[in-house]
Amino acid sequence: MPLKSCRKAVRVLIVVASCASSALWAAAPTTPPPPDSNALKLDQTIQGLKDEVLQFNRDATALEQDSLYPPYTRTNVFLGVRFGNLIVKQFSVSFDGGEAQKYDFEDVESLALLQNKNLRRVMSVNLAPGPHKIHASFTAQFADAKADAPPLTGNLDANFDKNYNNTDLQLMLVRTGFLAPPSLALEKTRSAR
Amino acid sequence: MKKSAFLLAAVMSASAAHAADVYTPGSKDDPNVKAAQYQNDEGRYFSSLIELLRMSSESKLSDEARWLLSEDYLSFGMGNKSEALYREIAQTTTDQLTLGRARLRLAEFDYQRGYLDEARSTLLKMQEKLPKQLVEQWQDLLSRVLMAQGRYNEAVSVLTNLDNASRQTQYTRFNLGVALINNGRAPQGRDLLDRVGRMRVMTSEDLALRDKANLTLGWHFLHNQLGGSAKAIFERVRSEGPYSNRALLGLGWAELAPRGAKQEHSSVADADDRPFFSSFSTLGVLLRPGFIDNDIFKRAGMRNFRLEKLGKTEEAALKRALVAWVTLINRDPMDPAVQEGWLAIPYSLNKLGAHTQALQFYEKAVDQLEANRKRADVAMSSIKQNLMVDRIVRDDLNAESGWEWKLKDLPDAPETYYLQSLLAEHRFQEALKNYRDTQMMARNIDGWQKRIVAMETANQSPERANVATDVLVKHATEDWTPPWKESNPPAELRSEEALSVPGAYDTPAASPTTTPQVELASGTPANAQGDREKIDALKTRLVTLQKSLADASDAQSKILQTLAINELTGQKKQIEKYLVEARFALARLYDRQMKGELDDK
Repeated sequence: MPLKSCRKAVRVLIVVASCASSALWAAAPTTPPPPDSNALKLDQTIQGLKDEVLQFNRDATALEQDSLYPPYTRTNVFLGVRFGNLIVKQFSVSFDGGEAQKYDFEDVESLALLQNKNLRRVMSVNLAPGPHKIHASFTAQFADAKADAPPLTGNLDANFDKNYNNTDLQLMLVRTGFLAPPSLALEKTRSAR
Repeated sequence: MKKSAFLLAAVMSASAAHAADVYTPGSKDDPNVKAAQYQNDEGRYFSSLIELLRMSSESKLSDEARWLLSEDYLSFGMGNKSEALYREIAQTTTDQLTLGRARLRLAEFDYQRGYLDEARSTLLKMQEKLPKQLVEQWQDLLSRVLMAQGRYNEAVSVLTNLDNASRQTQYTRFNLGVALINNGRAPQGRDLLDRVGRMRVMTSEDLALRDKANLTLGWHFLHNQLGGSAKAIFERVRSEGPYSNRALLGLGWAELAPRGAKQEHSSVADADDRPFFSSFSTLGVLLRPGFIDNDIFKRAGMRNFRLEKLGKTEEAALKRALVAWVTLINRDPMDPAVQEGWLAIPYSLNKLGAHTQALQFYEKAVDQLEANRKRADVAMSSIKQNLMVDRIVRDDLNAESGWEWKLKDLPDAPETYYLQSLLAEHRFQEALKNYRDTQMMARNIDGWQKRIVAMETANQSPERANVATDVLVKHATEDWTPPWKESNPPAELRSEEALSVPGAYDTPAASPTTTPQVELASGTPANAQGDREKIDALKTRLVTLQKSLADASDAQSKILQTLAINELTGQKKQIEKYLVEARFALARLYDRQMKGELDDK
C-alpha cells in the first residue's frame, strides 16, 4: 500500500474515531475493554512532572531575566497588528543606529498576531536610562492579495526615553486613515508598581 | 483640511512615542498577558504557561489571564491543574457559556485520556446549568463516554430524552444507532445507521462516516443472516477508502449468505437522506454487471468453470462473490480483509467444483500469507526499536501543543502499515502525546544548562558589579510614592510654647519607657537566597528533573510499544490462523487428488 494512501486513511480514521467504535463488526455486542490502569497512572505522573518542569522554567526564566536584563536597563519590544487581515512577513528593529535584529514570520505566527489583539514579544534588550532612537521596518501582505502583488513595506524612526525601570515598547501596525497603507506606531507602556 | 489632519496625526504619533501608558500587571492590558495569549493562539501552550506563571508569582492575575492559564493547562495535557482552576473560576464567573464550553473540553480530555468516570461525573454535574447552545455537544460527549463504559441503555436515554434529533449531528446519530443495536433495539438502530449511510456528504470526513455507517450496518445484517440487505448496504461504500476493503470482503460473503427477509427503509426520511447523485465511485458501481473487466478472472488465473451439482442461483452467487474477492486480493496485502480474501477465493472455487484452481489458489494464498508473516516479523522488530514512534516525534520536534497535538504525517516504517487503525485510536494517540511531551520537556531542561552558565557569567560581569549607585537609587525610587503623599497628612512643625531662654531650659527630656531590644545577627542567614544560591538550587532541580523525565519517557515508550506489539501480535495470530486453514484445505485437496477424486468441471 502506498504510504500516501496510508497517511490519508489514518487522517480520516482519526476524525472518525470521535464516533463510537463499531463493535457491531463482531458477531455479538461486546463490552469495551476498560482503560489501562498503568497508562492512567503514568499519565498522572507525567501531569505532575509537567507541573514541576513549568515551575522550574518559571523560576529559571525570572532569574535569567534579572541576570541578563536587569530592570534598570531592560527594554522589551512587542509587535502587534491592528489592521484587518495583514500578514506580517518580515520585521526588523534596531536601536541608536546599531545592528538591526531581523525576524521572519511563518504563517501561523502572523495569523496568531491577528487574533485577540495579541502582541508578540520580539526581543528584550539592555538600554541605559535616557534618550534613545528606535528604527523599525516591516514587510507584509494582505491575506487576500494576489500572488503577484508587491509586498507592503514601511518603517518608523522615533525617539523615546528609557526610564529606570522595565520599559515596554509596543510597535503597532496600524492604519492611520481610510484607505491609508499600514504604518508603524510606537507606544510606550510601563507597569504600575 | 488634509494638511491639518496630517499635522494632527503627526503630532499624535510623535506624542505616542513619549507618553508611557501605565498598566496593572497581570491585567488584560499587560503586554505580557497579550504575549501569552499570542503564544496560546500560536499553539505554544508550554511557553504561554511559563509566561503566565511568572506573572502570577509577581502579581495577581486578572480573570482574563486566569481563563487563559486554565485553557493553557488543559491544552498542554494537564487536566488536573486545569480542573482545579476552572472550579475556582466557576465560583465567581457569570459567563456560564464560556464555563460550559471549558467543562465540555475538560470532559473531552478525560474521555480521550481514558478517565471515563471523571468525564461522566463532570458531564453530569454540569447538566443543571447547561446553556442551551451546548446541549447537543453535551449529549454527544456523554453518550460516547457511556458507550465506552458499555452503558448502552443510558447512552440511548441521553440521546433520546430531549427530543432534539433534528439538531443532532450525523456522528451522534451513528452513535445512537450503534447504542440502540447493542441495547437490543436493532430495528431502530438499523434505521438510524441506514439514514447516516445515505446522508449528504460535504467533506472527506463525511464520506468516511457514511462508509463507516454502511460497513457497520452491512456486517450487522451479515451476522444476522440477512445477505440480501447486507449486499445492498455494502454496495454503498466507496470503492476507494479506509473501509472499502472490509466492505468488499463483506460483499462477497453477502452473496453467499441467506438472503433473508426484505428490510424496510426508514419511514421518517429527511430530504437530506434521499439518495443523491454523487461523483464518487461506490462498490456497487465498481462491480455492477457489464462494468467489470471481462478479463478479471483471466487476470486472476481462472479458467471458465461450471458446476453441475450446484443450483444455477448458487453458482451465480458464488461467481458474484468471486468478483468482489478477486478485486479485493489486488489491494494492500497487509490488510487483514485482503488476507481473508485470499482464502475466500479458493473456498468458493472449491465449492464451485474448480478443485484444481482452488488448489492453485490455496498455494498462492499460502505464499502471500507467508510473505505477510515475514513482513509482520520485520515490523515487530521495528516496533521494538521504536522506529516509527521516534520518527513521528522527530518530525515535529519542538511543538509545544501538548494535548492539542495532531498526527500530521506518518513515517515510512515497516509497522506503519499494520498499525493504521491503532494509530487513530485515542489510547495510542494520547500515549504518543505524553511521550512527545516528555521528550520536548527533556530538551527544554537540557537547554537550561547553557542558559544557567550564561546567567552565572552575566552575574559575575564587571558591568553588573559596577552599576552606578544613582542608577540603582533611581531604579528603586522612580515609581515610588512616599507614604505621606498617599494617605498620611503632611507632618506639621509646631514651636515649643514653653521654651525658656537658651541655657535656662530645664524641662526634663522624655525618657523611653522601654529599652529597644536589638540583637545583632551573627554569621550568614540560614536561608540566604542571593542569585548564586538560587542558581545552585536550579542546578540541583535540573538534575532531578532530567532523571524523572528520562524515566517517564521510557515508561511511556514501553506503553506505546506494548500497544503496538499487542496489535501486531493479534494480526500475526490471524495470519497464522489463515495459514493453518489454507494448509489444511490444501492437504485435503492433495489427498483427494491422490485418490483421484478431483474432477474439475
